[in-house]
Amino acid sequence: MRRTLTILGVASVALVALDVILGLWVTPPDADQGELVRLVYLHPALAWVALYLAFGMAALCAVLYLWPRTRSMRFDRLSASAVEVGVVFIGLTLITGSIWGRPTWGVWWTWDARLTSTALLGVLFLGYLALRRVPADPEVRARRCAIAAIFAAVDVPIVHFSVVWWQTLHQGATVLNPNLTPTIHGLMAWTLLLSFIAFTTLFAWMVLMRFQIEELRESGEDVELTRALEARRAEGVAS
Amino acid sequence: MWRDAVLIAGRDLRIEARSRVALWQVLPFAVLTLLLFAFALGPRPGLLAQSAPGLFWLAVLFSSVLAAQRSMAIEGSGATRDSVRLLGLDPAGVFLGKVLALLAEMVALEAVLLGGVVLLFHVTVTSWGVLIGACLLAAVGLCTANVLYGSLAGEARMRATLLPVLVLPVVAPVLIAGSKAFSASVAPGSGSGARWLGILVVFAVVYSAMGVALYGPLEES
Amino acid sequence: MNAYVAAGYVISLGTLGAYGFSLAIRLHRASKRGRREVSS
Repeated sequence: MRRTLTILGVASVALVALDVILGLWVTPPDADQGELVRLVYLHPALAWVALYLAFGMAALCAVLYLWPRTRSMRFDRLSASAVEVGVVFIGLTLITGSIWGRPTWGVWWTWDARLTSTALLGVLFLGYLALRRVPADPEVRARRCAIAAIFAAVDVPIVHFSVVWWQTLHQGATVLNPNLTPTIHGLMAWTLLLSFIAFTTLFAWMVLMRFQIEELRESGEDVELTRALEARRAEGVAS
Repeated sequence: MWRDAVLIAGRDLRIEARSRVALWQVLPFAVLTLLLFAFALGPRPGLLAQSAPGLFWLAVLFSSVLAAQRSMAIEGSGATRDSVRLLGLDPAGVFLGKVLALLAEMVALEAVLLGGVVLLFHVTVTSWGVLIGACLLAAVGLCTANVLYGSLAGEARMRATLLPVLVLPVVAPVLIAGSKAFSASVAPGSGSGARWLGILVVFAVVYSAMGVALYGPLEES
Repeated sequence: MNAYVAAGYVISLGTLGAYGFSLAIRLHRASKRGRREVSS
């Protein structure tokens, strides 16, 4: 585990650094977007990690936890770690999207379907983390959180469709330029691909670290509990 | 399952008939929100009538959370848990019973709020069918989601603050679809409400099914 | 460099760096405590 963590850590830092260097200095500016196109090496990869990877992983681990055959506290911890890291990524997705939106659309925020459902998903994530903080027996908490994750996952398509219809019916023409990401070639495409790999690796590293912290904390509590029990028992024998 | 549901619904409604919490606390709150919305937007009737669909559903949403808090407070006491367990009631039945009782309260609340919106905000409804359908379907969705999340949120101490954070983002589609259906029923030119009723049906069905399947494991704790 | 691009990169990398660093510190502390407990 230690080895995997080190390898993942070194790899993710190196890949992200390479992505930044290529994205900021090596790739050429775009014909339409100019310098702004450099955000394409950051924002879509963050969104991919937050919306698909983190959320999918949390939901998958929740199902694996609830399934009696694969029930293990590990899945509960993995699910929680994915959500916690996912919240960081979803926040950055919204921030970078907003920074990109300001010069492109002229506003920091627009009630576009994708933006709105991303924000709602972020609030759902936060609700999950709030639920985790409710003091309860670990088993009870794990079951509650797994069920909450599944509820949220089921809610996502409903949210998506209602928001898409709400937006399109409300505004008529969308302010989002469908050609926002113009066709890209060569080095730009490779850098874009690299950004996805880099941030996926970074996500894996962070989730694994978070998971490991939780594992160590649980085992530490177990050790402390057995020690306290032994101490009490020794007192009983002595008296 | 249905026998247990009727039993639990009857119990919850009897408790409400004696304690009158929904009547004296939730209902006044709902009417109060309408007044507060009017204060916030100013007395121009045109603006109020225009915003009425959204404001109506916001009032319904907020009141539904309060009503659910009350409903789960009944379930949360230790004696109730023990008696439900001792009677060996089917958890799916308990869930449906709680939803049914809450549904009765919500429909009454929606009726009062609808009257309030029509009278105070000068709304003229043209197609009552769409509106009433939306109210009923949304009530089912709201009640199922609220009971589920109320049970999820755990002990009473935390539930008061946790339940709104958990349930309000989840019921956002109900707010969107409900408001749109309301708008469609006010101005017939603004498109059909069928699509929005569809979302409400899907929401109600999905959360009812999940409640029947998952309420048991949730309440085991 | 474009100010928006710079802001986007600085905020993202700064946040991720800070979060990753705090995770590494927490992991380090937790594993140190765990080893101490197991060995004693």
